Amino acid sequence: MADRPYIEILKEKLGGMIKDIEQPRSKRIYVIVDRDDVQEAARIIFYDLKCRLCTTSGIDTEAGVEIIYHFYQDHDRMMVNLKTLAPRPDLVTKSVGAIFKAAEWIEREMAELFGVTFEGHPDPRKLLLADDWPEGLYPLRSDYPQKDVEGFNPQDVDEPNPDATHLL
Amino acid sequence: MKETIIPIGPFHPLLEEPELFTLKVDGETVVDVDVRIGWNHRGIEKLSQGLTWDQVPFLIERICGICSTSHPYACVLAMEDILDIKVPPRAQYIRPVVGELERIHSHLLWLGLAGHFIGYNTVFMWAWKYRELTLDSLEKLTGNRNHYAMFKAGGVRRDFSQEAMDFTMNAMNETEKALNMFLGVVSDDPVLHKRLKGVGVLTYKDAIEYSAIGPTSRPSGVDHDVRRDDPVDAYGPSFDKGVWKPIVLEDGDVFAKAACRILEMFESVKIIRWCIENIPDGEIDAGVKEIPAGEGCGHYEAPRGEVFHYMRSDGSNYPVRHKVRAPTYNNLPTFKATCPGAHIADVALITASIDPCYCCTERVGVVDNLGTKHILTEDDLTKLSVERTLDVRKKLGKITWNPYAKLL
Amino acid sequence: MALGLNSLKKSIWVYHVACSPCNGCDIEILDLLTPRFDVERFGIVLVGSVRHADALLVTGCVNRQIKPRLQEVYLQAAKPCVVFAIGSCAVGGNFFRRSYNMAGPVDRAIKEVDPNAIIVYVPGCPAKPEAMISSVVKAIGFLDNLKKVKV
Repeated sequence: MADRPYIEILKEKLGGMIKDIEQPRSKRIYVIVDRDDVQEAARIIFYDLKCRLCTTSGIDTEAGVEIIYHFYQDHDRMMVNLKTLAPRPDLVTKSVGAIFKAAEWIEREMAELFGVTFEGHPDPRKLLLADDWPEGLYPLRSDYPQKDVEGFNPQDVDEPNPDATHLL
Repeated sequence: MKETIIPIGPFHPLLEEPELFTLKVDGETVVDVDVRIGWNHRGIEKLSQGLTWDQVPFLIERICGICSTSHPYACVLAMEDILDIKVPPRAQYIRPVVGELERIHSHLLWLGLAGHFIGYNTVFMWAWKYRELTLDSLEKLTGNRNHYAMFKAGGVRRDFSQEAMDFTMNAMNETEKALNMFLGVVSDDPVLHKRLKGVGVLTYKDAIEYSAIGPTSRPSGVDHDVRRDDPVDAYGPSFDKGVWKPIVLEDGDVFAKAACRILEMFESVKIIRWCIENIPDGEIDAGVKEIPAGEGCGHYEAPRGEVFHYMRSDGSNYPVRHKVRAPTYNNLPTFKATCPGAHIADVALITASIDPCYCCTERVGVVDNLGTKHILTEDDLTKLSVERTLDVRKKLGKITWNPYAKLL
Repeated sequence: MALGLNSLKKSIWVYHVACSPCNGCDIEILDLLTPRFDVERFGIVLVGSVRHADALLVTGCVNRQIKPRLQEVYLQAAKPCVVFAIGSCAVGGNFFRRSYNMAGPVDRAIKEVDPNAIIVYVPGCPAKPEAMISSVVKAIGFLDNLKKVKV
């Protein structure tokens, strides 16, 4: 355990990159940085502070796609959430997968599901969705047309199947 | 040197989830591995945004039939992180019991499958036989063999009866005997040592670089366990009293991973016993009415590693965003570090060692660079495996005659 | 057809096709093979190749990526062949029926390539091993009746 609050260590290490920092609960810290600083901030948290990358979340908001890198420091028992924003309309941010391999897959997935472009990603191929998934359709965006896309409606299986035979 | 590409999957003949592995091989040595996932993608994160907070744990349970406690556990922890509450004491002891029973059943399942992959079907049958004891306990305690529907924000849905707890204690005694037997099998058998030691080594550096978790990274010397590092419910007090400890080993090979899992089951038995002996009386539900606006993270040590859930609420009935990260997602890319340099025959074992349940031994189609296709028949594969077994046996120096002469 | 169906009544060899399941049904299928339930005493064996199989055990709600592969696997199976849709997902989609990546339940995918396919539905989440054994017994009875009608 560190002898001073973890938030102080974080403030010292990240310095001027921090746009906002808060600690709503004892084990959770949320840091907001600019998208140009995200690579450097992630490098410091991962290599210098020896945090483990849990995962990355994307959230579609009005301003753009909010990207949160969740780190956990096992020794100091602190969850550090590094937030950045890929603003509309271009949704471009820097790739953290270029810094350490743990973020590679999750950024590939987010590029598919949100349409975010990660600049400098080493391997920007498809990961999750079907091979015949149409270009430019991103299911986790809030404007995803659930009903109107040809051939991509959710299946309506509520009607009983007329062909079924009951065995007993 | 000619480089050959071997696709494995998406339907491998025997088991579990569909997945496509592309092996680049040079002779019998693997040069590179690529994995294409998405055969199982069900869009759960999107579905979760259309369900109410009370319905979400039921959906989350169906992410995985084997980890069907861990996901709801992490999910309700994320909700409780938003609420900033603690659950009632009795619920705090009920939750770890279900979680640890699931760990035992999952590790026994893995042990059986791993035995099956190396052609040790006796272990497969035995492990699955003793796994039934755990499943019976779960059925008595929660009402179902998989998908227990026990978790809700602020508590659990179902109380344990005294009869079921007594049954579980007996089942744990039986399980411990079986575990001792398995420990003996793994530590004594020279063939297992030869087959598993030094295979698929994940170094400490790679484990950190890929952020590998759980029984994939702990055998490589990474000292972390979410149950200890972010203690919730009864895990905190039981660890402080010295009831259990995380298993951290040094070697990082498949043997260490197997040993780690077997030793972990002993720890799970201890946690279950301690929780059932010390379970307090009282309420099981804090009576959460609504989730306020905010964001929260929850994580829990599933059998395969840390499960991570992130939830954001705007104060309405539905989550705005629900991110799920299953442990295999972080562990799967470690193939890129462990497979190159290994034999083709070992790849099935190495990939199995992180526990994604996977098999490729029955039929492998080989496509070489010219585009012509040969199918290795079962006979060819049998021949290959017999030759390899003989090799191993010769190196062990314990075999003087050839029982496979007829086959060769 | 009648002769073929008759041949299905004894020692059914099954092939397991996992189509984006949650593993719950899959581990219960494996449970069938192990000492507690041990269906091998009825001659039911899990085989490695679909070409050896008399029945397909399909689990999970079929997603877009896996659907063409499932159809391919069904076409490769020697006919006649019975399809067991195991679990609520395979029968009707369960929670996942409204997901963007789903292509519908198993019977739709199979009937697209073979409208006359025989599909047995085994609901349950996950389907219990007892339910699976019972479904096989009922399916054999059904094939018996079908044979009498057809002949």
